[in-house]
Amino acid sequence: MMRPHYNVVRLSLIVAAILIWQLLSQYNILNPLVFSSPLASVESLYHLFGGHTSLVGFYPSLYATLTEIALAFGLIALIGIPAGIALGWNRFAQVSIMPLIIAFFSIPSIVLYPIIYLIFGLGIASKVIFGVVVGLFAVLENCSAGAKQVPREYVTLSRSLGFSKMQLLRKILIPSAIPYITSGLRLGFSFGLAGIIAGEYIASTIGIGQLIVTALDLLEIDYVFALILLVIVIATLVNFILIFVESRETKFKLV
Amino acid sequence: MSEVLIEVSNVSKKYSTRNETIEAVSSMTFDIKRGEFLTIIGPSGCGKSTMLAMIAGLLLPSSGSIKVEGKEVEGPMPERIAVAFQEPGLLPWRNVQKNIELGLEARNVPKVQRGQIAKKYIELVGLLGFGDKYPHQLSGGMKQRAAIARCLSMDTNILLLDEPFGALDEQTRLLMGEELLKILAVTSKTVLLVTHSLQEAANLSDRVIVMTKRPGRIREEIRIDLPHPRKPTDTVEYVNKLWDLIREPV
Amino acid sequence: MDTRLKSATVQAVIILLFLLVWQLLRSWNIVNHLFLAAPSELLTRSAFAAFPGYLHYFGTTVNEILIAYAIAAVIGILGGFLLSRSNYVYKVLEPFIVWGYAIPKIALFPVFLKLFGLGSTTVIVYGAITGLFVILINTVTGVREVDSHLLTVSTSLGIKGTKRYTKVIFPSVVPAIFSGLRQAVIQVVLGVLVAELVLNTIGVGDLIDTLSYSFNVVDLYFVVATVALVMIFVNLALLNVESRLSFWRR
Repeated sequence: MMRPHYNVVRLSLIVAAILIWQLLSQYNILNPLVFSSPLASVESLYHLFGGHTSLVGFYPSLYATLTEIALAFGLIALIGIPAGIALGWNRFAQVSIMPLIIAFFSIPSIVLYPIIYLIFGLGIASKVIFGVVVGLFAVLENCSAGAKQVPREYVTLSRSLGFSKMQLLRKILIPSAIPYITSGLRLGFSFGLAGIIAGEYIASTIGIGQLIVTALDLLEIDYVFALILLVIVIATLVNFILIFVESRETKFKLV
Repeated sequence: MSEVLIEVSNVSKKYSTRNETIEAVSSMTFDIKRGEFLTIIGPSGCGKSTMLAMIAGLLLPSSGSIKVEGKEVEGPMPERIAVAFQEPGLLPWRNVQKNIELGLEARNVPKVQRGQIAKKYIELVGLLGFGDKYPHQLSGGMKQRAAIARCLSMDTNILLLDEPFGALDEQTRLLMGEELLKILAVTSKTVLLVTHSLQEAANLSDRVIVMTKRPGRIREEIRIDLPHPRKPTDTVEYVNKLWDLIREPV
Repeated sequence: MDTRLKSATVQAVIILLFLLVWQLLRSWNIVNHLFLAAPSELLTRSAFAAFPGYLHYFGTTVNEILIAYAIAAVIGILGGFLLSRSNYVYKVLEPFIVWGYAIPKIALFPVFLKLFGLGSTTVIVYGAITGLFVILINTVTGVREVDSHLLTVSTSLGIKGTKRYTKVIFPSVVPAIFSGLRQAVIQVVLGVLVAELVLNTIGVGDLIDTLSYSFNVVDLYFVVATVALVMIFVNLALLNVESRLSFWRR
């Protein structure tokens, strides 16, 4: 018996799931006070973008959240990648500093959030900081692993070719560490995004998370689901972009 | 006249994939007598390892039959046959001693006895003092010795060796071959060896079966009646003969 | 050893520097007393005296963590084994699992809230789901990583039935599963605390929130520091155990 191609099965599963969900909520088997339907959520999302909705402040919140995401991701990448690589490359740093970092990030970052918004207020800043705190470790850990695993033969090769430190970095270390860097970024970004949304739930004047809370209070389940859908779409997009970048950069296989 | 321990009659092995049928082994018939050292040799992919796996009961033939000590082979027979592979297959979380005891644990041999048996074979294969070491601490040759000790501890009449020294460098390989002969001198066994190495075949065997390329059949059988230890000058004519048989198309 | 001493010194220096800067930020009034409590304030008797009043918060939270963790572990491990039984099923579902791990589960929190209400149940469910994925993914990795050659060797040695599981498969997967279980500790704790904070149900999460709103800075920092120290200790201990279990893996 020939089995269908993986993607066929996957697609069918997704379509089936959406259909079942639609039917279940349409016939009120799913409590309409708890669950919206696929159609209703998408329609509400459309209303939100179109501006004809009772839920005010969509665009400012959207921009706020997107700004937080951009800033947090940017900081996570800018700090995490170089620091992670440095930690992995330098053996002394691995032994001395890395354990401290592991120890620090054993602390559930949420307990730092009240302190963060105490000091930085309820605006964008505290969400960005919190997002960075939540997401940074994954990047540090993965980039460090990536730098550690560079086969020593490549280093010897580069020395014998007379490479400078910069050339070693660019031509050998980074290409061989790319899968680790991208998987670190994927994890880091997803945790960072989770941190940002959580922060907006807990203490915020603005943002998609905050909008979700408002919609919840107003019992506007359709808008709640629409916004959840939006967050999931954003997260999925970021994930796919990174997977795409990774596959482009690693068309070769390390011998 | 020595009794026949292993009887291979008209054995073939076919694999079917979606597009085609591959015949790995095509109608082989041969015997192995008690106390014999038989080597099967042949070009890459000729099916020699497949043949060994079938005798070991790890694969079923597509047609034909294999009898070991008079019994039809339907699966592994750990009381009669011990197998060593190219990969030692030691459990990495157990030390050498405990790895050797593994087969005895399958037979529910009590703890104290297991330990004694294992220690005896640790010494026999030359690993004295390494019983508490772990596989990742051992060289390739030492791991293979441990695997062989594990085989020997099963105290079977028959030993099957599938390229056991294939992953080792040449010097270690020759050394291990000599050690193997010393061990066999002490523990009489019937041995089937599958190998790529012509020198090995010439050094160790009483009889060599040369297979054709796939689908594998018996090309020729050669007896080697030299006493042990064999010197390179003695074996050189056999090595040449084997080489001629292997490289020349049928 | 020289490096060990050097790195221990560097670590000690960094920690002391951290404490010093923290203390000075307060002592020199760089940060307002409403926002920051200094280490010296935390070490006073009054800070310790207030703590017992918060014990029942800790009790509730620990309870929720244990239940959520147990659920995540059972489902994660069982699910991991089930998922690895069929290669086809695994290949089909794998991207969904990876995607599920990458999606912020917090986005689905409103649904849990509506389904399970404002109490501990939601906290436990959310905590369990947060920890589930890490355990599942690591278990699957562990099972798929089992060296099939070891299974072949076991077959040839006559290791059948439960013995295959207890002697070969389980020991092989334990390090991977433990790694998942270790990472899940932080995830579950995080999930539970986040849920408590968002819902304002009784627990350490809520406690921290309340203390911050009421500007009870000393107690806030005291509780946070306690949680921090406990988690650091737990994680380092678990990492230690994990490296012992994984000594043979690589």
